Amino acid sequence: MAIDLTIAFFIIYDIIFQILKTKYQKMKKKKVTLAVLMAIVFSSCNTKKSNGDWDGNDYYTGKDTVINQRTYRGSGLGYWYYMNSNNVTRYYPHTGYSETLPAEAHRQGTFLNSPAHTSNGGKPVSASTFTSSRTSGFGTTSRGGGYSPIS
Amino acid sequence: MKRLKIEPRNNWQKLVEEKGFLYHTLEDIPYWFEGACYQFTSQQIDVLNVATQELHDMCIAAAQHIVDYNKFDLLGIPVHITPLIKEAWGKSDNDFWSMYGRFDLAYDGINPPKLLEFNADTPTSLFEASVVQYYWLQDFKPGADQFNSIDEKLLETWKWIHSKYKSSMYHFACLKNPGGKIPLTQLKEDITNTAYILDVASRVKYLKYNFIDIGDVHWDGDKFVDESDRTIETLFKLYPWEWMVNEAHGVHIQKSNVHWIEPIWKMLWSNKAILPILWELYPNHPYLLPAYFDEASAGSSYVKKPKLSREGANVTIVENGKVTDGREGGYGDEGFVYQAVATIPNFDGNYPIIGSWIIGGEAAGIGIRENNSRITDNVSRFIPHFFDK
Repeated sequence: MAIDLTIAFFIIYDIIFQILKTKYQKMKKKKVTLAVLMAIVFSSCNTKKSNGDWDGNDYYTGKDTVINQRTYRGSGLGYWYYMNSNNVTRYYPHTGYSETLPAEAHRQGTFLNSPAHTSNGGKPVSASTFTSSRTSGFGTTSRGGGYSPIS
Repeated sequence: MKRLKIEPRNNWQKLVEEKGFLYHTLEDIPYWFEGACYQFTSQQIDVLNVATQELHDMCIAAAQHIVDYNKFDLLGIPVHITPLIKEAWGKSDNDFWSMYGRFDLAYDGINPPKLLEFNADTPTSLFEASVVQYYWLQDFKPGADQFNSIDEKLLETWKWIHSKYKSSMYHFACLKNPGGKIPLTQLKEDITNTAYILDVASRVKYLKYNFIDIGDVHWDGDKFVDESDRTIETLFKLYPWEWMVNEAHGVHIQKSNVHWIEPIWKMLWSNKAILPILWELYPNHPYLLPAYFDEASAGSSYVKKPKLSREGANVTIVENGKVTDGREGGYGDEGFVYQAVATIPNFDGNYPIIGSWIIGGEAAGIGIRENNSRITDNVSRFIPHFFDK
């Protein structure tokens, strides 16, 4: 009787163990291409962009458009731009005006000399106070603080 | 549990980059480190699995306790936020539960794992744990197994989410655009982890998505919209709740109908005040370390942790009344908790912490981060693992 109970115990234990073990089965990701991830990561994180030796500190918002046979990227500041080595050309869709400025000036948010081309009604404003017609949303804590927001 | 010194794969940087892992090296020091790995027995993996599941159950009870007894002040949560948390928690029974979270555990393979903290709102290293270490194992030891069903459980969770919400579009937001003092590597990590979750979600049939910067989530006077003024129905955000509620647009959260992932009640779990509350509810539990709100109760040796802190910032270790280790930072305004010093195994000067994932309410796998000190910070190494079948 005692032996039967022991055998029964080990059978039940083995069943439970096999059930538990299925939890750790290896992933099936070998069939997964991660295509969406790759597209996002390489477009958002790869600093060696095709249009120049960009360091990533731009105002890229993820929107592209073709203007005059060049790929422009949408800025949150109301213009489109493309990068060409150490220069950046901005295009202001409100007036069709374009200008070229050093990449460093673009990175620092240097504002257009002629505010008439922007969406703020032509008021002279500095880069630090300028906002586009779109209201900025969440994210101010991190951009002002600089602490690592994620654990 | 053993730490094995091994040879990295030839051209490992290229191999991991091909999988989309672009932040494998930080300031010339490998963050992804495959010059070593951890080996477990299947019994040890069982222990981690059971502990993770039980800790999750205990955290559910702790959240209910906070809500039932109105203990939000212990967490430093603003009064005007508590109705939102109560409402979301009340809905969680028959609405969305939770997508993910990561328990950080001290474990030596012999004694029961001890909970160090629960990263329940914005945990990262998900991509490394789910994808990068999986592909490493295929090259290193394809016959071995790994505690890693993160991908499968994420997919099941997203199937469930879509069947429940049926949103016409799902938004995924993180810090995507540079600005302020955000390091580029931080952006890469956030973008990659968010993109990975999006990738999994995109495998759900008919699910449409949009990947945006958290700054593009704004209130149009009536609802939250994206950069193209499209209504946000469901939003996954890799951005802490405690920051969102304190920002200008946070005042609109209570008026919105957005399905938030993670839900706002995660503020209860991502706060280190959960540690002394757990200890109060489950005194002497084998998976818990003694933890208190007051320094005097902790005795002469303890770890002082800000209630809201990330990457080890502002954590101080005090032993026999003297500070023996610590990290600076800008956290601590909400107060501190005092937790007993955990015994973190020392493998020749390497201190591993187990990050144990809970996905859709189920234990789903582990990732290991290792440091040369007992405090895991933002330069800790990620070390892959395996166990023999």
